[in-house]
Amino acid sequence: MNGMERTLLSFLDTPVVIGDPGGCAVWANPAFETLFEVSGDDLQERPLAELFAGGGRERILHAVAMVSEGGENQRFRLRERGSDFEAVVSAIEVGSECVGVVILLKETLEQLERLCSLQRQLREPIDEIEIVLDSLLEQTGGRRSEEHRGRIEDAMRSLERIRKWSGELGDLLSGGGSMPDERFDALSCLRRAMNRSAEVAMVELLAQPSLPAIEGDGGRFEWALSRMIEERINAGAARLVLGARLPETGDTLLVSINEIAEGEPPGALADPPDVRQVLGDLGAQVVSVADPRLGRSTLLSLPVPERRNA
Amino acid sequence: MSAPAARAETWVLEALQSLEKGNPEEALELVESCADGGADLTLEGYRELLRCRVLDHYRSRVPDSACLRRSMEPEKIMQFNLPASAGFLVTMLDGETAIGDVVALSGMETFEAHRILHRLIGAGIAEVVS
Repeated sequence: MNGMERTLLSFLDTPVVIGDPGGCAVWANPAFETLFEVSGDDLQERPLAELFAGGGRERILHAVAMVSEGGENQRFRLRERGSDFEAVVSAIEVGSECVGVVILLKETLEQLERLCSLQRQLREPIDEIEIVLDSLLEQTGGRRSEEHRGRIEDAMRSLERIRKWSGELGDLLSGGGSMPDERFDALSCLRRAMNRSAEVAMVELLAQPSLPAIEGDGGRFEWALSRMIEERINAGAARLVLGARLPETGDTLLVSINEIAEGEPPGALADPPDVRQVLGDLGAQVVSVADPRLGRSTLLSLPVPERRNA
Repeated sequence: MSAPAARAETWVLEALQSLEKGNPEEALELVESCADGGADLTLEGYRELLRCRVLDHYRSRVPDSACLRRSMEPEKIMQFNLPASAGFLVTMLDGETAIGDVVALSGMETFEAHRILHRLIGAGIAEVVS
């Protein structure tokens, strides 16, 4: 690997480590160094096994051995430092000889968050069905209704099983209760909210490529964002620019919904109380700035939690 | 009103005057120069709106579909002591890749990537392929 390629890897936000065929680290990009809290000097010739924990260590070593022996690229799920990754291990070849391996760790937080969010969303309809079944059971009396009662009781038992499985799914997704069911990727929420509105208005996203996870319910945040975008489109905004960036202090994430206007002051707008409630629950500060020459910016300042350690 | 808030308000007014004179980049630089690390959300709101305006300004001068190429030899470019991000973008200017694609491929924040590319054009390091 030449200097130019290493320089390009340095710019990637995805953690990358390069190892020799014997399983020792040779080089890592800054994203890897930050995640694993190692520096370039500590890393040289250090066994890859020392960098990874638990089951991940075994899988990495197995993948490196497979790739070094001329096998195909290896892909597998890996949990490290409180995050879930898809690890991709591929060979660096000179001629037909493997002279090293590249290990790339692609974060899979988005799919996991979506699953967590769906699991949480299941709770509400389950509760509602239970209320309806309870009420039906109360209203069903007399001998002739015994068959109906039996059916409703069957349905209630089935519902109880769904509730139990949903709970087990939640436990599984949260990795034993320590992981991301309480954190979400705001950028993914913004992207999905933008895609949903793209058919009815011109919406663009200007964001840093990688942003820290935010504490709270990502499903509710995405819902609030979508409502805010919808409100603005209904108020006449033809073009919206969504933004997400970390200001210099890095302790908050600034998410903005910008209505672009020139010459005309934007119409009055008040976000619904339920949207304000969700933003309040996330600890967001909300400020709106309007100017006839520029348009209106609604800025959400979300607190960035401290990074989790393993 | 606190002294920093009053100062920020003055700078926003100055920035809006620059905008009226047709200089959105200067307006944005004024607001950025008094940004208090993101603490003043009103100021950050103006900053967001000005970033959108400046991006439109860049795109009106050179559309995202245009291609850029280096307009000087690497030895001469090195004399500019470019920051790493600018140097990285310079390496991507091959005269065949559209600006929009260069920005997307760079993995950098969209606005900052555009800003650097336009500064490279301004400095004569890059030019639009006609």
